[in-house]
Amino acid sequence: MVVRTLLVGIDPDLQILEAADGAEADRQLQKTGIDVALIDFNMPGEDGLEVAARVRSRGPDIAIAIVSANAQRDIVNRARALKAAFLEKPLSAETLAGFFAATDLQRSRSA
Amino acid sequence: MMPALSALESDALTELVNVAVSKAAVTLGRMIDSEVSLTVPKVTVVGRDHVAAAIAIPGTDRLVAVGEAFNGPFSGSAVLIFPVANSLELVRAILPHVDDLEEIIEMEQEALGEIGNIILNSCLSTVANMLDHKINTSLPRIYYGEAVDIVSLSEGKDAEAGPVMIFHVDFVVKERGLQGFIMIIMSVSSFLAFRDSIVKLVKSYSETG
Repeated sequence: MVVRTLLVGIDPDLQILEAADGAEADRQLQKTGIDVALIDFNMPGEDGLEVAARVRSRGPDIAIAIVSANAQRDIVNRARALKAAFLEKPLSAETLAGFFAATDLQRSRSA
Repeated sequence: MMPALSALESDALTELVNVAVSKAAVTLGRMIDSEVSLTVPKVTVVGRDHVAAAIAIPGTDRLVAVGEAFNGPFSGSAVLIFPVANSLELVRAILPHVDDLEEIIEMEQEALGEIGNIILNSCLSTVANMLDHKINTSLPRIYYGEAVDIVSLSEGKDAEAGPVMIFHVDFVVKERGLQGFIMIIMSVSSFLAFRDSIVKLVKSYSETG
């Protein structure tokens, strides 16, 4: 809920989808394409990196960030291996805006 | 009862807990935009029957706790505990844009879970990184009760018999009238594994330093 508030602050026109766990995220992704995925590491059932791996397999261009206060080296390295950013909680508007600016830059480069 | 540590190891242990808990305090401070002060960590070994007395907050009966189990080379529970009377103020502090009291009450459980999740993970991941280990953490659980209920709920049914190690750090947020503490409980057998990691850490200091 805090993340949603921050996202609206960055760009009120963003279309935001929310999923409570990996299975719900999979269902949402079957219906809609996405450009950016913010994935909490800690979630019921499986961890956020497993979900991130499935999101990554859908598209190399999706910008993915793992969001967690659990900044263990192993988790950060696994995020990097999936070409995902690691954003440490508590998330600030600046950090999130920085991540979005970087994804815009990547997209304009690859376009 | 206390597994013996050399002066250097004991120093490294205090430093490790200090860094981890300070990081958690900074994290809490950023979430509620206030200064958080901490006491020096206390490490005690007590029998299970005495844990509740060790964590009671004088003048407070009802407590709320957010706990996570952790496991890796050593296992235990990390718990953030504060008086129930502080709960809404804490939630209000992390949701400054929400004015409606009903809405705050509605969000209380989710917000408490997230506060605990962030603070405890920030503490445990610092320990893991400093000791170069992997530690798995469970999802946060919230429970209410007196100190004795909090202890039995945070340890779960699988708790080993025998004494436990308690790391205990108090925090105070003066400007918001909040107080509470972070507690890490480990069985003595887990503490022995933890001590081995501390010994390795101290060795690595002397090799590089």
